[in-house]
Amino acid sequence: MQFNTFIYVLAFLPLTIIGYFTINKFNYRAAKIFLAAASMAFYAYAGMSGFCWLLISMAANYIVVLLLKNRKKKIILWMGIIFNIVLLFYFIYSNFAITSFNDLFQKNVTALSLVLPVGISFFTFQQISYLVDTFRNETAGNSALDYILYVTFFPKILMGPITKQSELITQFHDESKRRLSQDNLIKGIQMFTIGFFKKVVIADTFARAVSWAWSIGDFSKLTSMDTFLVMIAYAFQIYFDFSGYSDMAIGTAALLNIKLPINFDSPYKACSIRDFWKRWHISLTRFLTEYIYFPLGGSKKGKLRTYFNTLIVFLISGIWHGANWTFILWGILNGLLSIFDRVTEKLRKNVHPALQWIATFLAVSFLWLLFRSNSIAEWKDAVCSILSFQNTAVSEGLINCFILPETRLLTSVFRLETVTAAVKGFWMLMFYSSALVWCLGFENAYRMKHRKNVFTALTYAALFIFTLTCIGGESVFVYFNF
Amino acid sequence: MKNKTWLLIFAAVAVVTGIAICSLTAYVDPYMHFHKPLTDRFFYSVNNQRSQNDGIIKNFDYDTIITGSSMTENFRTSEADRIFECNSIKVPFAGATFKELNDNLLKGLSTHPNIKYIFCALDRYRFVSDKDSMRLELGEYPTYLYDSNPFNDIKYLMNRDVLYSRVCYMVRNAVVGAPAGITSFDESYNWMAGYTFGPESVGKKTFECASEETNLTEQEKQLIKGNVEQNITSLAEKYPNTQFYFFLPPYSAVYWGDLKQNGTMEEQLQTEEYALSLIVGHENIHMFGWARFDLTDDLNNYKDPTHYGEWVNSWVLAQMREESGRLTEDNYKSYIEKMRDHYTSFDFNSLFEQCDYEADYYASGLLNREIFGTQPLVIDNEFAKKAELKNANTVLGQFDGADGIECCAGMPADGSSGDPSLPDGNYSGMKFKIDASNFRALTFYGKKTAGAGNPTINIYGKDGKLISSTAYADPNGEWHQYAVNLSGIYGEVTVVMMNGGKSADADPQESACVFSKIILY
Repeated sequence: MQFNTFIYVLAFLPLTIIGYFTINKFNYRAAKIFLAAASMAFYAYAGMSGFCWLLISMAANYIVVLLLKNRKKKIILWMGIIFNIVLLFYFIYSNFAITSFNDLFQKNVTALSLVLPVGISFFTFQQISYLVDTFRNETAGNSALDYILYVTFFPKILMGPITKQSELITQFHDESKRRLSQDNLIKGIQMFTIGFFKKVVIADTFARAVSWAWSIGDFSKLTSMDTFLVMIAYAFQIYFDFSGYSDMAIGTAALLNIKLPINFDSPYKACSIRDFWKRWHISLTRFLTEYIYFPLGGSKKGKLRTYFNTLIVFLISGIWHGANWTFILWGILNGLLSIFDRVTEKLRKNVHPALQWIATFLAVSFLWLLFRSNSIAEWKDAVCSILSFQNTAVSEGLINCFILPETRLLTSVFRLETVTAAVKGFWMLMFYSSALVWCLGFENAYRMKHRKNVFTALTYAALFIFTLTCIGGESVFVYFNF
Repeated sequence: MKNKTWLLIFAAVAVVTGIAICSLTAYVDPYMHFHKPLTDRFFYSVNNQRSQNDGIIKNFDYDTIITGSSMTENFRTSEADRIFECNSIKVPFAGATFKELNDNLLKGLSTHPNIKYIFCALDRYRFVSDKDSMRLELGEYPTYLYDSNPFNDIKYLMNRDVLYSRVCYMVRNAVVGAPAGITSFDESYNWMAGYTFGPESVGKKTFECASEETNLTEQEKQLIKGNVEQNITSLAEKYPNTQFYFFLPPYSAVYWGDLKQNGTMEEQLQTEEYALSLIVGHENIHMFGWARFDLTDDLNNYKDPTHYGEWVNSWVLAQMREESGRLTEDNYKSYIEKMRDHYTSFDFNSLFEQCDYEADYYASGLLNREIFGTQPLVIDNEFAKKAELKNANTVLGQFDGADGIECCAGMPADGSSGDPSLPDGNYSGMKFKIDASNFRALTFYGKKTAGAGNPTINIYGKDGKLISSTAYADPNGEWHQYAVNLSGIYGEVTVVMMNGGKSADADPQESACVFSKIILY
């Protein structure tokens, strides 16, 4: 089940909140069972085959947990970790390995027909962290139900934030969190609404521009300006999409009195790549730092080892993000830029922050373009198209991606026809500038003070309902030739 | 502010706004999902088949359904109503499978038990497909409109396109007093204006015969059986009082040429023969297939290998009314044999040697003798004596030696083609009255003879309102063939054939044109 659906917003979420707190009044254990059951139903809604794999993964991991509780042997821990990695590789990398093998040896091995369990990367990493914490004797007081709820807790199971057991299970044990909190309700509503709007209205609009470019399928057919704008559109899309989802997850959890960790801290305000990674997908960075970078020695074993460790962490991050050479290169380039960042740290002190910001934002955007590309060659074409700067025209197709039913209505109601006719790509300009202002000009939603006054109550209600009306559109059948 | 107050304001505003939006959408109901259109208050644009046909089928009053793929989009319900004395709706589904058509017909029949006629095209290439196949690759079906679950209707009630692109405009237009109503079934989905017809439009190609022909397999026969029984004959069996008029759309010879080139013509004929054997035995199924090669071999009737002009739709209706081309247990095999005989020896490459009519509707006119049995009416100088001529005179020996009307002056801008007061005003041309009901096309040759000469035809209804206005730009001052479509126009009308070329003054040196060989088909 996705957060940005009617069934979630209007049925699942309110019913789960009501059910959880009502049952909590009578029996805390029953309330936890209810929440775990609701979480599993939330996950199973996406497909039963994925749900079965989740159950298999949880059962296998919990056996390892029980073994580790009896005997703290590294071999058991490694068996558990390897099981998780094998499962992850099987689903995500099998077909990538087969196609790479076919390409390399000119063979024709048939690809596997796999249905990827949604969120497998997230619940696998969380279970690895649980195994490590068990090995470190940090999960002693947890029950099987705690474990199930920790893995399946629906606000974060699909896309994080990747949460440590210590920060989630302790909250379930906290008696003060078992009663409905009006304060948290307000926080949750505000956070959820912001994320909902970011995802549905902003991210999905930029997604139209990105889809337009990839539907053409050849960057040589786009102008340099088109490609540049599409690159920026993707930078905005991925940020508003992912951070919007995280905001909705954090907001949902807040409604249940659970505080999830921050996942995005205004990453496009960063003035260096390392700064960016401290702000982007924070829970993943934290996981990789704690469970890979530190065990490798972190930055305590000399400069070269630090650089090597950094590169390894980003390589793993790249591999984790997807099965394609583009992700691997994306990870390596991020690692190299982070190393460059460290090397030039002192030199950059005298460089104006604005210049550093522009350089960081562009570097990140070029790397997002690689992240989105279907192949490294495609990315190269796109980059060449931008850097050649041969044609600065903006295509009508791209401009039209930002003409939405709402913008057409606004144009009509406020009689903006003369403005939209005079300014080419008026609505496109509005979206790009609004997104930039949103990224740079405001406090992050997680840190933002949740104000309680009539204005905010009306604004959030209007924003919530408006976003709700933007979830779905008309079914249009593409049938040009009848 | 207290937490409770904030939460109350938020909840109250959100709930009230949400309910208001849903109620407004349900009241205006642009998909006609909940109720009949409020045509006295709003204007309903009928332009989304998958979203609106379901509402039309459920909520309209009718006794006849016209449905099918794009082969049925050009049908005029006014024509069907006239020919069959019925009250029809048109609910086509472009690219539809038989399953989709059957599901919608089933809904129509279950909500309207007294349906007299069903007219439905059965695309020949759809017989060999799974009985449950749908066109999922074309888009997402709005199934929330089709089912009986009231909860998922929220996807319609809170829908950005419905709300911001339809409901808001419909309400605004109603508020400012714009005309209310609904797109007529004659106009809805009619794609004629978007295409040209003739050999060039179909696309010239060279045919080569395949060395081997494939045959229908047992597996394919099972598919056909399942498809026909579930989606064609079961409905007729369930509703014996309804007459089902199914027809095999008359695809052009190019379609058959393509099959022959691919080596699948024999397989297609065997498919049709087997499918027909399952259909024709049903008493209330009127199955039609036409071996009318004069029509299908004339590419002036087609825009591509399969899609024919709207005059063929009219012809289909007329044929069905006459029960002409009906396939029965006695003749369906000979129909297949005729098709086989003709296309086995046919020289497909000769198709592109035929004349490509400059005016597409000329083909419509030629077919009208068969559709309405109307004899062509020649508008010559004799006829002109009974008509009104202003700033014009009759001339002899014009195109092909035929008579002509010379329009001697271009009218000032306020007297030009679009002026609705024209029937009683000033113009340069000829005006006459006719009963247009049984005519399909006004064809003529025209050319400018001076300056901005621009052969123009205005047609006015009995009440003096402009029904149609067509101005033909003459690119080079030579004779050109033109044809005005008259289908869908009924009763007495006033036709004004004039020089529509605007000019600052009425000097004939500035603007003049000639009409010749004027024929009403």
